[in-house]
Amino acid sequence: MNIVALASRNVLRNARRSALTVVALVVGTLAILVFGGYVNDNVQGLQTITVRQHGHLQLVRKDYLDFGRGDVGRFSIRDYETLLATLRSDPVLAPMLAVATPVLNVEGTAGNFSAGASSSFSGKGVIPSEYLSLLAWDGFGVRIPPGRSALKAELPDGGIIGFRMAQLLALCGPLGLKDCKTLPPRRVASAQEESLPEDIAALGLAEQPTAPEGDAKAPATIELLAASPGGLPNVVRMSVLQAERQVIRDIDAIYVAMPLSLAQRLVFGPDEHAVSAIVIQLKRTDLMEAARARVSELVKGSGDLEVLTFFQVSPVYEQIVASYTSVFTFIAVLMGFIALFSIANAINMAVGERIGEIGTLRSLGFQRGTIRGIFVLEGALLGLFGTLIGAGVSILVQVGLHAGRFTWTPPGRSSPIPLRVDVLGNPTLILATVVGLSLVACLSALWPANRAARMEVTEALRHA
Amino acid sequence: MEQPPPSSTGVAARLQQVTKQYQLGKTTVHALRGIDLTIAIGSYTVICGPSGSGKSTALQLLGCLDMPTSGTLEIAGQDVIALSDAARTTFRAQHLGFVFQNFNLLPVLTALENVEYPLQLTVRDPAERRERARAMLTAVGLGDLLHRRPAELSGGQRQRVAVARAMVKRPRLVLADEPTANLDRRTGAELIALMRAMQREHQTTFILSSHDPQMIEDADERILIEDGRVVESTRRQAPLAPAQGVS
Ligand SMILES: Nc1ncnc2c1ncn2[C@@H]1O[C@H](COP(=O)(O)OP(=O)(O)OP(=O)(O)O)[C@@H](O)[C@H]1O
Ligand SMILES: [Mg+2]
Repeated sequence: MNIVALASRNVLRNARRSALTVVALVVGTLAILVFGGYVNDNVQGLQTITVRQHGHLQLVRKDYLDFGRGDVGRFSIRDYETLLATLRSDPVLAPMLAVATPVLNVEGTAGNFSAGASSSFSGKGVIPSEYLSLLAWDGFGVRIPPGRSALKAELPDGGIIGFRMAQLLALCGPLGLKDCKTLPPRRVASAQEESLPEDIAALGLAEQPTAPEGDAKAPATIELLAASPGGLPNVVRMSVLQAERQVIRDIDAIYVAMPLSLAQRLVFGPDEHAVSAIVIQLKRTDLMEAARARVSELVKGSGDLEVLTFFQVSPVYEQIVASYTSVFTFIAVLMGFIALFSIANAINMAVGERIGEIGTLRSLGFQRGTIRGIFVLEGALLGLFGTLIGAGVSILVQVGLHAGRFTWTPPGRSSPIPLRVDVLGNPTLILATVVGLSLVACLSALWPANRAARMEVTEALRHA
Repeated sequence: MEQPPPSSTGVAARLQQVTKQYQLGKTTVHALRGIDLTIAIGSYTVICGPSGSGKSTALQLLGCLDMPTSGTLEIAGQDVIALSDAARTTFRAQHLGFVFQNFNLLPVLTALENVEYPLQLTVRDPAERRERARAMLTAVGLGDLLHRRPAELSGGQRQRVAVARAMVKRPRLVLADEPTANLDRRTGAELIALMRAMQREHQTTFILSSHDPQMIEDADERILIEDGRVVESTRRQAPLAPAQGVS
């Protein structure tokens, strides 16, 4: 029979009050862990999508991020083949690499001139097979289906556009897209009856194809127009292999992917070959610092290059993570206070009820510290019990959501993803919550426990 | 540690010019107004006196639960006023046993655990603690009720557990402030007989306070307190004569 046994019997003796206190802790733990797990899962999902798009690291010309769009020629890498060979063959870096591939970013105007439709685009030229590997990254195993790409090395003029871009370019019909809104004709059949200037109406109608549903198998083609480094416009014709929905709606409307060679022709003309960046995707995100250091070292002699992380390339990643973190912190602090007050209240009541017992124990020769210990221990037991049950329930929630195969569509995305909370995937959070809230429990018990320890024996015995 | 060392004085407790004052708001209550007492080792002393005379106060000082306002206080050869709060607490654990008017058992512990629990302060070996507790409970006649909780025991039985708890540590001094006040006459008489028997058997010094004439009549030494002063101190001859009616 020791102090732990005494404390636990006293906890059990007041079953109703202990149960209420434990419930408060279970709720607190549940809130922290389930929301934490949800955040964890979302951040992993977000990171997966970001890393699929941008890789972990990008090797670019210094200041590319700020000025690259304005002057593609000046901020491009010409000796990329050599650099890639260096990176891929480096014994330190190679084992960390998932993919290292060149990318040329290009912006301009895309037009389906036969339909009189045009729109701005933001495209990239990639090596088809390597691009496909980029899109398949799943370092966290989050089950987001890998991005598809119909790009093929054998089809050097074949490219892909976003689904909404296909709508914008009136390619629903030619591409045989389902659920695709056809561009409303500029002038409907009754246009003449309306008060529009006839010449403009005629101009529109002149180019309007009459929805050839089962028409010729002629591949849909679009013209891409971009400014060359010299400032003159270059135009290439790209056959649209497919329209692919992009996960982020805004990107869906401007997305163009094409083989690197086509992009290079569009930007530099037929004779020059350069890329905007070498995208480096690692097997796991935790390798990033090591990889970054190694890449920087390897390219030290190659002029003004810098290595960017995906946070730098896509700052929205960090903004989203920061906003999740602040909501999470708020919830954690709030739950900490709930734990604090419910434990302090329970122990305070226990002390009040057991003043006589405190006097008895002190008269038997138990020190003030032991009295304090008994009540702190009672708080700790309630805390530990509540947090452990809470952790168990949180894991059940994870398993339940997983088994139920729920999905949801996060803001800014066009396709649903599995609704998951990743509690088990973050054992540190479980441990931190259990330990943290139990410590809060001890701390909040300390205040009434000190009151108990400070009591004078004779005074306390009067309450027996 | 548990056997009293041979005392040259043969004195279990000595109070000299002890006063105790309580501050009640602005008024000072003089609970003890200068007491001189010498308690012989192995004696069975009863302090009596009218309500409010200072019996409980005197027992609290003798039990090192409180300190006098002035005077000297020597318990089992130790000047307890000189001790720190923690050292005095340890002193209680080692040398003093208490029997309270309200039994003061821990409700969540069984009879056996109640007796055993304080032994952890002085006896290292858990098996020995358990054995001693069991033996002491058997000695007070509760060998069959070891695993009852206090709520499942009668008042008389509870007070026996309390006596066992006080005795199990083999104390120099047992203090009992009105131990029979919450018991009916018959049960009270039985308890007194039990304490007297234990006291004789273990040669323990007992100091009790009581209004109970039966208890007073049986005492080796009777100290009458009135208004914070000792007004009469009667010593009976042959303090260790066998008592009657011990069960
Ligand atoms: N904590 C205290 N604060 C103030 N006065 C006190 C305190 N304890 C005791 N007294 C006073 O000291 C005096 C002696 O009290 P004490 O309890 O020692 O009497 P008693 O002889 O035990 O009485 P009773 O027979 O009723 O138990 C009384 O006047 C009492 O009111
Ligand atoms: Mg009294």
